[in-house]
Amino acid sequence: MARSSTFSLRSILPTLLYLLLIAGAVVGIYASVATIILKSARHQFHIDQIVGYYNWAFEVWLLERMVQVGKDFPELADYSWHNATTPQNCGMYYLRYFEFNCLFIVALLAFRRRVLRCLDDFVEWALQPDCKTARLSVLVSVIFVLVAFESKFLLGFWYPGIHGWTYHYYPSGVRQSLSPQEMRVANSFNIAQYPFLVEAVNKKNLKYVKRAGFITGKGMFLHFKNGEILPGNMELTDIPFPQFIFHERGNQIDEADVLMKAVMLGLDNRRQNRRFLLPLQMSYSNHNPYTRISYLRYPSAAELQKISMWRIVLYVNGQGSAKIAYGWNYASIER
Amino acid sequence: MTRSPSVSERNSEIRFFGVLREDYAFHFYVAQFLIFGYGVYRFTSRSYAWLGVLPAHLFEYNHDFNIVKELWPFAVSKYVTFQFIYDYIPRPDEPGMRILQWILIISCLFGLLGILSRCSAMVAGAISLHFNGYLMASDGPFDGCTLLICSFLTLALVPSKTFYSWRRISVRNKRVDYHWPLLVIMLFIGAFYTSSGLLKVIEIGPHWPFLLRLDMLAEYQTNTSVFVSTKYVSPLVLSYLGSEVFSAISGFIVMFGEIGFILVLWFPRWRSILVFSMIAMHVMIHLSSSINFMGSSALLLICLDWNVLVRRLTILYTGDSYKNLVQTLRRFDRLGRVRLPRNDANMASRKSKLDRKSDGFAVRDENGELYYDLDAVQQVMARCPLLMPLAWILSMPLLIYPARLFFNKWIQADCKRHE
Repeated sequence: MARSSTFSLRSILPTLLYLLLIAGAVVGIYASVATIILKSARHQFHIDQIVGYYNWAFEVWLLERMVQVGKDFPELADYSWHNATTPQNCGMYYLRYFEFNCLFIVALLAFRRRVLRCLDDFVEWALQPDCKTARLSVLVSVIFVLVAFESKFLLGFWYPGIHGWTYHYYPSGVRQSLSPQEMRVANSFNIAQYPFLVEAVNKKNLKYVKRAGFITGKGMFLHFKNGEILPGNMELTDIPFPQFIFHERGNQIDEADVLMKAVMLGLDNRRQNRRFLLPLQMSYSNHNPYTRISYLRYPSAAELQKISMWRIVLYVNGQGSAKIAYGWNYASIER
Repeated sequence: MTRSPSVSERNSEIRFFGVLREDYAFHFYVAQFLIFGYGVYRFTSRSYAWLGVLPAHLFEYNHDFNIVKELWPFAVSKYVTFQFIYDYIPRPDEPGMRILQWILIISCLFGLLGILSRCSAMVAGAISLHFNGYLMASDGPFDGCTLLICSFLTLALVPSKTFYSWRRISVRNKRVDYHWPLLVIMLFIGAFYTSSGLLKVIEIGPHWPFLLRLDMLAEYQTNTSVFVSTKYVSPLVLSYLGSEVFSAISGFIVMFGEIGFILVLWFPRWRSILVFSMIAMHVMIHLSSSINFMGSSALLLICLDWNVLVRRLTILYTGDSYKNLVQTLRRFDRLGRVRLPRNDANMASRKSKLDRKSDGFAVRDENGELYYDLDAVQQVMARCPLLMPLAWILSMPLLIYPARLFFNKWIQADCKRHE
């Protein structure tokens, strides 16, 4: 009896694995197409917004058809689970994945016999009675990696791969001039009222800036009960991508209370020259490391009264010196 | 009757790592040390207490981060990472998260010291997976420890007696269980990098390196790094990225390095260059884009063949012109890993069986792999600590071809000189 069940598993397993590979590609196609259509139904965006820098004419035509479906059936928006508001990547992330999976299915069907023969050999090898854990681990790992890549499932311990960025759209970060409105603000701005703002500038990096102009950036300041106002940054929170939790909406910051708590937790550790157990200098930095600030001489977290967030416009002369053109406090979090 | 090997067989570049090969424990011990050691370093460096501060409504998989946006209406990771348990029980608060992190650190430390290593791998795998699930559920979407989790989970499948411990550590133990886990770990590492390389081709195209503009990245990052609130970058390193040509060359190295990384399983000569090019890539990404994957470098080192340090080599025959060289090389072998066969009289017959050439040099390692001439010399050098750097230089891909030409000429000249 046992022998016959082993025999049946052995005989159908290659076909099952073959079907699993096809199913992985099919769900990958479903996910890509559904995402494009449902996102277009929900956001009603124009084709120009979703075509990437890299798309061919055929792809633009295909995207137009998919977007049109979304526009023709706006009720599909109710079925959308997407909350991303930036649709520009559809032509790159979703359409190209759809094309890849289509080609993969065609290849699987065209070379069906060869693929089945390979899978048959693989299963034959995997089901040998010796070293069962080893053989099954290898079989499962190979199939798992392939199916995860096709379907783009984010499983929590495996990613289908890291994308390639091209950075072609990056600005220089330096503006040659200010708008008339900004000029008015800059002319009326008195740095003597906010002397702490200069602490937001990383002076040792100024010599590397070769262009003259205005750079806009942010400043985060910690206000203590003794009147000291000292610079900080989001590294204090220990969160890999804090900007996605603490969204800035005008002069409001989402989850402001949480930000205050996380900063206080981090500050107490940093004052002891560590992030957790290891000294700060030798500890492994976060996935998104921030500029390191020495918090050794900062007052304790219990003394923290307020966190203020500033937008700062800095004038750099391209020769290593800079001055603050103006800045404004766009959000504050009181304890 | 033994067939004489053809030229292509004699120094084949393709030597599959193997699945069920009996191998020495040393490489596995190195992997155990690197995986648990990196775990200890990583989890003692950063605190996950902040996860206990976040309110429950932030764990709703509402990602706004477009790059890792789940294509699916349901979060598979919720079940894989055991986040679903919080549908039934409250999430741990800040002290609770600290306790979980301490358990994780202690299990990594136990694994590093060889105490209950398999159990430690299971616990470390489960908790680090759970932490990663936490990050995926929140809007701080990922932490960059995929390969570490995969390594823990693979070690959790390995029989307990395979791990080193204070009672049991012998690098010259030989078992199948010392080999296949390394294959699985290398498969995951290879697939991780290869799929990243393939994504660049799929989503952008094979001309990705030409579209890559590191010069624009460098200028933006340098200019915005004048504020202490920004991500960490090194303007000094960025100052060297200001050329489009350099950008395209870097792009090609990254793309081919990533796509080809799975070849570490088949092309031993390419291992070191692939591993070190990926480590260099992580260093450059860290310093230029402020994305830190540097910890993966420890796991990348697993892909090197560490057993070459303990695997003995037997000299099958030495041609006349090689005798001086081999004698010199053997003097460097202080650990006795290069040996002559017991019955030296059979050398001539082995020579005739293996190779028809009148002159030459052949060695066989304990895996049964045969190496000839310069490749054989390289293998001998890899066993001599002082000559190891030379062996590494020779293992650079493509370098072996001109090196073989020069070496043949040099060996002939050396032979004449000694005559």
